[in-house]
Amino acid sequence: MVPNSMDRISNLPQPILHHILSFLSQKEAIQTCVLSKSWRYIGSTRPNVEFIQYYFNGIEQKFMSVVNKTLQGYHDQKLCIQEFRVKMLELDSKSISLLEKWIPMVMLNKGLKTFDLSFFHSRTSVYFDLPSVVFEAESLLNLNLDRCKLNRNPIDKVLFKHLQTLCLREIYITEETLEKILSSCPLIENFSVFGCEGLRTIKVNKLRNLNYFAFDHIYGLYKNNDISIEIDAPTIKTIRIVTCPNWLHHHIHFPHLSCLFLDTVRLSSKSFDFFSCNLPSLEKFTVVNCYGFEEFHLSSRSIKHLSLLGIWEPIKATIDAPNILVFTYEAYISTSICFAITSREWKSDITLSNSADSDYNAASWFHKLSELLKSLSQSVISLKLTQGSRIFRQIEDPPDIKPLVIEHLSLAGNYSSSSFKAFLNCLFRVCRPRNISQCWYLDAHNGWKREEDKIIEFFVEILLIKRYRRGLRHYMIWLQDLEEVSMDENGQEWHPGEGIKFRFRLKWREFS
Amino acid sequence: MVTTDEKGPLTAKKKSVIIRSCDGDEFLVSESAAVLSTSLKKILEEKEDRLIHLSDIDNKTLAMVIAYLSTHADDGLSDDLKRSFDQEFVSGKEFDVLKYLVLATDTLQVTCLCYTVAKKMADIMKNKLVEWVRREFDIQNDYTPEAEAEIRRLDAWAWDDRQLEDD
Repeated sequence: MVPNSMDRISNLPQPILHHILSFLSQKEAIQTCVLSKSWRYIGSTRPNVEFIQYYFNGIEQKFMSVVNKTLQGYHDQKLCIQEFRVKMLELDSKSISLLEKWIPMVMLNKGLKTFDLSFFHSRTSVYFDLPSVVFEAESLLNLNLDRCKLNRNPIDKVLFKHLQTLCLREIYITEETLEKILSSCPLIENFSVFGCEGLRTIKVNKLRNLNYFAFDHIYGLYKNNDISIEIDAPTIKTIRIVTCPNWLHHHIHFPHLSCLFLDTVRLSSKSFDFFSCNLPSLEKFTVVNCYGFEEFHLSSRSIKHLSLLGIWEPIKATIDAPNILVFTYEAYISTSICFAITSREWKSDITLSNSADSDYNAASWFHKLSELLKSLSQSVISLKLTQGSRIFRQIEDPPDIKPLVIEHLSLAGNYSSSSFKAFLNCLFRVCRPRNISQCWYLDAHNGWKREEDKIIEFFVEILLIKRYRRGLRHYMIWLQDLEEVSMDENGQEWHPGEGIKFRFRLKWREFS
Repeated sequence: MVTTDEKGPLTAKKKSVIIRSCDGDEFLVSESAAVLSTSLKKILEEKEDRLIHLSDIDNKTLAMVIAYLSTHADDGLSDDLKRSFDQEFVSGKEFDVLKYLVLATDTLQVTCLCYTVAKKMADIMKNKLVEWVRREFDIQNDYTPEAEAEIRRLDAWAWDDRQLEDD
């Protein structure tokens, strides 16, 4: 008789309990053994095993004996291991000898689907010479390797007929070996390379099921920084490339690519022509810290989210994206952007940060800001300024421009109260925000706290209390246009998340 | 692939099947939704019958599974929408409801939903003490205190309370 067969969970069939427990850590799964007698061997026989050395308080002996005991137990009871994950602290001669013992034991499982090897601390010059038996695991679906050397020449047999996910992290591999592996894995859907030595060109052109490709070269870690990538995969939906000088994409059409993320990639104006012509399904396009172009023209009916981030040099951008929903722009300078007419409602999130250069011309900065906002006037604009106000001390003549109403202004950075009035005078000539909030990066410990409080006091004084005083109105001419001000504090009816304390809502007089 | 249909591919597209729960309720389901269940697909391939009787799935559970299948068979919905539907689908459901769902999706071989439900059930158990799990699921501890202590001793490593700081 099973005494507790009527409880709410124990009567589920064992395969289902195994499935549920497979989402828990090894530790939590083992803990379920004490729930009751019927649970005695469920958590300890689930088909996935995962060992994280960090849990063992650095006692290597304990870690080693637990893994040994577990693997031996699975082997003796002929239990199947479908997923094997091991994350060791570091790669040294000791961990290498352990892995050399464990991997062949794991590979005895004919149904192994996932093999995942990683290390907490990498960045050593040591590589683990992966036993060739791994390449014969025909049932593998997911292979995740870290700090392995794959230059066995030649790898005798690669039998990854079913492999769907291949992730290579800081590995040593030759081009021939990579090509051999990829050509034996026709079903790969996800392929990632994070740092690698021994490769000059990564060719991804034989994978007919590829859905996702990611590359991150992790600059500074490898000498061969002049790496090139060639992707020709008609099924691909997502490409992420980080730190790669050469993405060779001449004349290749990507009919299904919907998400493209490029960070620190060398581009040219022609690259953008290519994006316009060959990516008919592109919806989400992010360009971060890319270089090598001064102007570009981007035309896409499919783009919904466009992000231009980390613009260091002035660029001239012409964008025709009639279906855009969100445009995100983060730059060190305001630059020239021209949007073609759009019909539906869209948002633009603009973040400008600039360190105070000695030869910086504040009047020209405001002029450029005005131009940028005007070019985005079809959208609902949120503007975030992070450069502080010190540089504005010397402005005497604010630019004479008709101000544009924007939805939101967020101030983050070091705004000293002495220059703040001059700063606001100029800013409100350029734009009139419906909401103002502050967002501070730094906490109370590093000295900006006092400035922050001063600015809040300043706002309260200017906007809520003293704004009808005649002297002040004369000094701050924009106060005349301000009809109503109200203030929300974070945590009452308004919950903007952490880092934002208050919001002023401003109602401006309509001006023609 | 349903290619054996005598009337040709044009009518095959819009075909429906009737699925009957163990308590006798019948549901009309489009074939394109039904075949997302590997078991139903096999049944439909093997026999002409358009009425499938499921003797171990009750009407409430079956209605939920069918809602899931129909949503996932809808070509008009984006993958993102389907993913958020999946999250909505399991959120706030009682453990017992999830239990019947996991059994039903296991029987019907609806792999994706089975995965989502099992994961949700695991999330309920995650980071909980043994005593909590016992209480929550009415599990009667039938070990003697000595026996339980012995099991804890055998796998002492699993009872160290060091938490992973990152990751």
